[in-house]
Amino acid sequence: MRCQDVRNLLPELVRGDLNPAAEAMLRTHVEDCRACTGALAREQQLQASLKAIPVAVMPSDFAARALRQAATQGRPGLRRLVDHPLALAASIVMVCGMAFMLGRELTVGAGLEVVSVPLGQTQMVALKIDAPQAFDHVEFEVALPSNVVLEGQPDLREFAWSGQLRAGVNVLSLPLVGVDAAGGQLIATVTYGNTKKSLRIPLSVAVGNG
Amino acid sequence: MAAILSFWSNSRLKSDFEQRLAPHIEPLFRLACRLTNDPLDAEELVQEVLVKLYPRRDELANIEQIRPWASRVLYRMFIDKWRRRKLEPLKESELPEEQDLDQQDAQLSAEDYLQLRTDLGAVQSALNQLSEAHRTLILMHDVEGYTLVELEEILEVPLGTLKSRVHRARARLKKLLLDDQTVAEPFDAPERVSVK
Repeated sequence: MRCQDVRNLLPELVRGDLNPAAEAMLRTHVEDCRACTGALAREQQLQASLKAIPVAVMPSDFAARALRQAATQGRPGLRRLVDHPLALAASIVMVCGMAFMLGRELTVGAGLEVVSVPLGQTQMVALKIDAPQAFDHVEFEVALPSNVVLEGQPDLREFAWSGQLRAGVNVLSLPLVGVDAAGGQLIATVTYGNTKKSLRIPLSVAVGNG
Repeated sequence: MAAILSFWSNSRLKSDFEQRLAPHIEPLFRLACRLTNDPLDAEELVQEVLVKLYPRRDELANIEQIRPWASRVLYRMFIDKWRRRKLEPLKESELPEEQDLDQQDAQLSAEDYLQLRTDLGAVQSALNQLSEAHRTLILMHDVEGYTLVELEEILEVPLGTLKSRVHRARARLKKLLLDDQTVAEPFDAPERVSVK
């Protein structure tokens, strides 16, 4: 084996990328060749320096923060609301609510009326949930009727996620767009342990501002 | 009116997305740091990658090797969108320097090898003088430890071509690390490697 061939393979030798036969052949040559022994030492130093090139340390909270934000921003239609929930409050139609209490039947807020969503326009529809205490690991599911779509997510008919309920009033706001002048029911389900409660919200789609 | 609380801002991630990606955030951050050379930009880039991946949760569930898969998304985003948005000049990435580096240049003599500077400062300086494409290869392969097979997927370059490019990138780096030679990368200022 020529010295030049050996030197060409020194990076792979140092990295451990060679197959056993090739590595044995190189090592045999290097042991008997003073020039290649020196070259191997240099290659080891070079690769050690490359590995030592500093890089910023990731902030300890970044992973959790980034993953959480991805889940939020991964729903384009909801991003605006999450970024500015209070600013948009005035445009939300607070349609109905339920009290989420363990061991009790679902209590639906009074005056559960048909919610009108304008055809081709976005209407914020809010579901209010009153929780007597904070709950962790709550499962949420929403199924949309065929006459509306979630803004920015026209193919998303059903979606589910796990989350928390804070003590007090929690609001799930959905930017809905009317796509079909027909009636339908939005079904929202909240599950905590063995407690599962569903709420059916009648939705109608009307031309104009309904 | 009660304070508006958003479920979405409270909500936790679907566990599968979090569990599968969480172990790879740090390597992605490191790669992003290497590419952007700025930790804040790196955070922003990784964040954008995660936002892009979140709707692909179903696809993610079937991926066996997540790191190269996510790295590929990150690299493409860096090349196609993020870098352009940052208005950084788009350097030649198709490696015309490969034609400039002839076979003789790609080989070091035994004497050359012994004259190589290998201290960290010199290596960093030389690395910064490489063309972007060569620097990226060295950073991903030799610094961050991505295998050539992984790079084949991430960079979408055939394995044989990758091997050749890595070989030439290393040769360039070593030429820059020689005390008595100046090898300017094409499209880069012909500056001598600083010797401290």
